[in-house]
Amino acid sequence: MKPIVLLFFIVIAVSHALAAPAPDPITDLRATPAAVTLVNPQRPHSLIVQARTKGGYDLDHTATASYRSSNDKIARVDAAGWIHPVANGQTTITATAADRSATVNVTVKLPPAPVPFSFRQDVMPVLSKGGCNAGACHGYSLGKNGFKLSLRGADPEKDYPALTDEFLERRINRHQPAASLLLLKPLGDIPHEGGVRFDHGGVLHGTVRQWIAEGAKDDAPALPTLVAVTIFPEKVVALPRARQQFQLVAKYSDGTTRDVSRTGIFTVNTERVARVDETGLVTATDLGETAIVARYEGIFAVANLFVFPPDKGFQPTPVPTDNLVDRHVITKLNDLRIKPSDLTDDERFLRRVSVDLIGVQPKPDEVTAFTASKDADKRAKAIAALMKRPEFIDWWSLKWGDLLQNSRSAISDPAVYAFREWIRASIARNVPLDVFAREVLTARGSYLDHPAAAYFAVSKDTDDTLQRATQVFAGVRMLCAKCHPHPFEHWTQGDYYGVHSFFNQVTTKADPRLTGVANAKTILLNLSAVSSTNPRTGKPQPPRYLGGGEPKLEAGIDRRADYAKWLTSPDNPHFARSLVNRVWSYFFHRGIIDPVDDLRSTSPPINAPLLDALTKDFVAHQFDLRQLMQTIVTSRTYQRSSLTNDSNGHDDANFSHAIPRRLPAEALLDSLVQATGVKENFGGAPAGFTAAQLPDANVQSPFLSLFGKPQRMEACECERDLGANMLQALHFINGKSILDRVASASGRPALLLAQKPTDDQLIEQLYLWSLARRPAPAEIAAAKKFLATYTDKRAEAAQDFMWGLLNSRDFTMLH
Amino acid sequence: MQRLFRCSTAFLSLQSQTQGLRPGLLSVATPWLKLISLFLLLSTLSSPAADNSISYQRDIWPIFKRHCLGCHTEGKAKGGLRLDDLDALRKGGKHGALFVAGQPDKSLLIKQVTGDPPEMPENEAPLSAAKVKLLRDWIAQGGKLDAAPKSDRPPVVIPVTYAFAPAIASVSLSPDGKLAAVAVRSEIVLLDLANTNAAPRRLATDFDLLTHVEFSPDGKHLAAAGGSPQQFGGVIFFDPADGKRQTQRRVGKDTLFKGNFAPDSQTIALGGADGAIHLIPLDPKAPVKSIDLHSDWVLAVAYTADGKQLISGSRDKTTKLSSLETLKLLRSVDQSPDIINAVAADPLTAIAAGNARTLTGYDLKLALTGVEVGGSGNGAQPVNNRAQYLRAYEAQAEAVTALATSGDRKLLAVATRGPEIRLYQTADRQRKTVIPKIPAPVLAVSLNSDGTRLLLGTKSGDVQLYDTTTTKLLRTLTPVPVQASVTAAK
Repeated sequence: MKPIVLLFFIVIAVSHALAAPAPDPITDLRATPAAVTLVNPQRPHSLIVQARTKGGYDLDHTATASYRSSNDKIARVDAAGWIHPVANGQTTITATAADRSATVNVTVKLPPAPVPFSFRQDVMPVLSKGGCNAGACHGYSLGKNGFKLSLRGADPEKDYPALTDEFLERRINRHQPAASLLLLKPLGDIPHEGGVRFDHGGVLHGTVRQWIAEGAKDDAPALPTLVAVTIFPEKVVALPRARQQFQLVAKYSDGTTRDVSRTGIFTVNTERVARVDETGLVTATDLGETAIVARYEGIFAVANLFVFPPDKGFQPTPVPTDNLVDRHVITKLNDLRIKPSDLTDDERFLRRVSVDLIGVQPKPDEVTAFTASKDADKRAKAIAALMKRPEFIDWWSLKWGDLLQNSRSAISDPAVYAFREWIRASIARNVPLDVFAREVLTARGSYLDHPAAAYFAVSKDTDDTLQRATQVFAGVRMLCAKCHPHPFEHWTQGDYYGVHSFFNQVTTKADPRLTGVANAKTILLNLSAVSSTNPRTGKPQPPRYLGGGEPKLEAGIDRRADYAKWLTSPDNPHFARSLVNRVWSYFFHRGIIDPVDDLRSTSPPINAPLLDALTKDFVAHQFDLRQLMQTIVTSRTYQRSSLTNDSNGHDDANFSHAIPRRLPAEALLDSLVQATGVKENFGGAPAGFTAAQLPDANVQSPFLSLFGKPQRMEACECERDLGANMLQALHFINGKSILDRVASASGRPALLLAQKPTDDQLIEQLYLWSLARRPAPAEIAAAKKFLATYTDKRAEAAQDFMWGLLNSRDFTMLH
Repeated sequence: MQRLFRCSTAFLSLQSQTQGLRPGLLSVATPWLKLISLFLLLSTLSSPAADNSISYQRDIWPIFKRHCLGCHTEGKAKGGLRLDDLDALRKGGKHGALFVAGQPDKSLLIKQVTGDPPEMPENEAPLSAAKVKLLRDWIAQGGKLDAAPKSDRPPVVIPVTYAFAPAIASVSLSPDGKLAAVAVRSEIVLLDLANTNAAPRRLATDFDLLTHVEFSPDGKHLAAAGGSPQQFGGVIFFDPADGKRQTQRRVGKDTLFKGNFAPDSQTIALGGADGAIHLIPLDPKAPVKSIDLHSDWVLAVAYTADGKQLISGSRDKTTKLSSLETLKLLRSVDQSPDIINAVAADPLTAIAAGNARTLTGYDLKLALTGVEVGGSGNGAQPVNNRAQYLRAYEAQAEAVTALATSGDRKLLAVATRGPEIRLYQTADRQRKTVIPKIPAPVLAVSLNSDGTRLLLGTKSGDVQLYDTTTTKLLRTLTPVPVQASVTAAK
């Protein structure tokens, strides 16, 4: 027994010594808020006590600090740091921790009469915090068990009678509050299928009980409204396993503020990094960063938590000034104590940039010429050359065809080809994206009049148009707000139907000039159409810009033009920002905000200064798409290796190294065709079209469907599946796409063997065609050994070898 | 084995502490005595010491209450399991006994709450390790059910003086028009209309919420129905002459709603939260009969004039007719866009109204002609068209909260959330008169036999008596005392 105990202590002592970080002295202790005015005896205010270390870490001392009020008769402070007003006057609270202290000036200004609990300000938040009005509970559109509340408390006017009036006041008992069903159920004192939602004696219980005891009164019409919610601290740099208390403060229209930490709802965006309990106490669990999102009565506040390893003498990377992408990425990486990976080699760079810009990997002669070049500026020159290639037009027209959902499933054949040509011409001429968007959003007639009118012909109705237009051109998903307030953003039905009213003049008719053409549609405008009706209010909702004001519009104009003009103005908060983020995502494994078409305040950018700078640059260059791409791909950030170093292995979000991506379906097929020299015949498209040139997804190609080519039924970027699955692997191993191609008499192995190459030449050529790189010496040796096993069956050997190369992850991935 | 060893070491340390505190005992204790005491301690390990024993009532019931009772309770009993009743708990559910005494690892309860992820609690976070340990230890100790769980439901308390004017949920005029009865939350108040000086007689009940009060047609009984929400329903019969209880019955697991005395004064029909009409006889020995016909709460029931059929209106938005003879549904006469709050009957039609602001009569004879009842319950399929038997009244300005007919069923009073009462002649469904300027919303209304007097009760606690011929307010009644400051503020 004894030796074991001894060993135990030794282990503790040693591990303690090992875990002890280099001394990182505290430089500062702060209590927040520094000053506070309390105006309601029922509303105490919390304190956050934070220390800052020399190494830049935040240490939360809220739970460990000791608190003292200089005058308990004015305000007292409890052990958890909550300040409770007692009587009018001023006092100072002192928080002491880590041999330092911080003070808070408290002013108490209580009204002469007691302040009753408010239904909207006190009870409604409790119903949200308790989860009562959640979508799976009484917030469900039909309610639960006969009791219905508005979803997430969107409609207090309806919830008040539901609680206090329905069925002869069965849910509350003003004369004996403790007997109220509204308390017995959530307390679990009467069986409640929704479980126990209130703790006996807790804040939720106390609030509702007191409100009932005061008569369960409705609010006066003059009740101040909630205008803002702030979270503190907004940014925290923490060590792993650290804890941080967050504080939520609501601001009302009369200028008063109130601590709502106990009734706010906290969530963590990246659960790998941290978890949060219901009181807003966050525990860091792993290195990385995450947003902490707090919701209070439909308003969101977001804080950023960074969990860094202890500082072991990190040397920051010098911040480059020549490229705005690198500048902001390196600045962030220095914050994160991450060293970026080195640049990738020429061959991998050329393959990566070729696939990303023109949708096909480089041919052997391009690879050899590029690697042989001694030009210091050769990467930039290669980029410029790629942008002039015809495949560039194919590739980016394909992308816009996807986003605008050009498809023969919805519109006529000639309309699809006309729209495709219109898009191709726009890409070829590098039409600025603002002009492009305005043209699309205001097109009318049939393809004979304006091919872009196909955009509206694709829509099923105005709702569809609205949802497609906001998702593609603003990166915002509005569908939720059609029926109720958006659960993760402050969009209301007013916002939804406000945009609806801009597009509701559009009507789609069969084109009388195109009788006999299936699905021939023409877009007409009913200029006298009135505003759309908001179903919640039953009243017309005048046109309202997305998250903006309601313009005074003349009657009888095409309202889309006004919306398009607003959307594409240089200072619009959605347009340029969302497109920059989307374009970025085509060159990396993720957007700066991800997903790219679900932008909202609760999904903050991983690098806000980077997105802001790129957006500003994009607008300054008149929405020039090629210029934006050039800025991105010429950066060192884009050109980094996928090999990691000691400091960046865990980083999967900050672009410190390349993260391998699977080639999109069309690029994979076109690269396969180019490698093997055997074309693909697509049923349903003109002969000779490459995969990138296809007019839509209505073609017979099991390969493309298998690798996730989008059907263009949705405006969502997620419709393109870039994932890997077993069927894909089986298709590569057993399917005809590779087997038949390598075995073909006109396939690459046969073509190469016809030139009677040596083993070395054959191996190098097969590597160059298949993987767009030369083999490494070890690979040559292995390959020779492999070929030797076939003795005189050289054709079979070459076929099998190429089959093997194309089945490697080197081929399917960009790395 | 390992566990037992750990326990014994724990006892050892406890033992030495005790010895430290009691030097007197130590002095007599010799080493071999100590050994004996240790042996004794070890031998008692199988039956736990008082400190470690787990009480069902104290330790286990709170866990059940917090995590399990939402589903495993009477009425729901998912998997056939009930945890709110000791006998049912012993029996277990349809998957067998809940636990095997002394063998946690063989107990269904432990299997359900452990595992990765645990099956139970469904859709919620798993139980904490500490709670699982409590359950295990309880079963290991034999799973004794030491006492029934304590109720956390507060008893009904009736204030002497109300802080807030209480809503009047139901009112009734005695057939002779001399007495008024009103339902005020948990009590019935009898008011003598003939003698203005008489103090109101307050009849306390142990029901949280009274939903319906009614004099029998013969004037000999006063029924007060209701219950405590999500706990029980019931009815109490009083003697109107002296306010004494005659009989009382409890029915179901939630409050009963509004209903109607049978014309023979021997039975009251009341709507139930279980979707059934409950026929509760005065005779405490006679059984309660039920007609199960709605898919949601039955909010109102009325007898037809001949006493052979019942009209019922429900939160399921339907109005239905059922037979007292067969205790079966005759037909669903209508599906409203909203909840039906009130029903009534004149000699020829059934009448229903509710939140949809429509007041609709249904010709009983036509509605019930040629109906073929196929299947059971809601399977009754109407043959003739709704339009053929519909007898519509004028539309109402607000949601209808209550209906009342005079004793002769010639006059119909309609109470709404608006500030007036409309009176209709049932013979031609034409409006006869309107009593204006009433403190809205009105929750309850009653007419006397000949329809000359109308009594109403409002949400804000007003009780008023009107003369229907002149529409004059005869009296304003105060059933219970209310704090002055509050009434003044109102």
